[in-house]
Amino acid sequence: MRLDLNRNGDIAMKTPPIVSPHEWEAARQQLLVKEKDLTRARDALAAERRRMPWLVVEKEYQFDGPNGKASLAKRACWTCSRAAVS
Amino acid sequence: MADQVAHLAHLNARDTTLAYASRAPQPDIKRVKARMGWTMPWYTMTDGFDTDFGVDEWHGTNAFIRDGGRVFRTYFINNRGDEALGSTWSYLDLTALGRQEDWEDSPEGYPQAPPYAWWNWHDEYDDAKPPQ
Repeated sequence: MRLDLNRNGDIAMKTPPIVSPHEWEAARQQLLVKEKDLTRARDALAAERRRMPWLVVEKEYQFDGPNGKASLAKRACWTCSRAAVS
Repeated sequence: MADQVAHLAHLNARDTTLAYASRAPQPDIKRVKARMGWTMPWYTMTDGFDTDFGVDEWHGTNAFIRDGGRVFRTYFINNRGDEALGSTWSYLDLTALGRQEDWEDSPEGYPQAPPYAWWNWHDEYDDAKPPQ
């Protein structure tokens, strides 16, 4: 791949400037401030999520599994009480 | 999505697991799992679970917590919200109890332990068992 040409080979890609190690590290540190803010914001959101109300699952849904019938109450993982189901 | 999922032994060490559910019959699921090298539990839905839990149209991720015989739905996310999932941390952050680490801002009485202390090689957890 040539970076001075796009996929069709006709328009030049406008890539960022090429800088010294010192300038590169300064730019990285500047971005890192925002990235740490995002990490802390994600932690705060997860804390709020843990305070979401719970909803009782009233029906006993039935599934077929590799070892026969299964339900949410009969665990997929024998030791687990929490589950994320995709 | 299943290609992105971390080894479930780490989730299991937090008393949590990840299970997939789809409409495909078990022989089809078994074949795809074998082809892709996937080992997570994968169930076939037989009733209205998909429509009741937002996964009838496309993928979605629900979080449940079981307390004795009772099961609660605690969270749901889909679209770009769950396509980004895959790491142990990303899944734990969606669960009712979180990562269960002592730095977390969790309600009183929630189980918490020092970070990383519980972390281990996936085949060296005390209760390591092969996935179903």
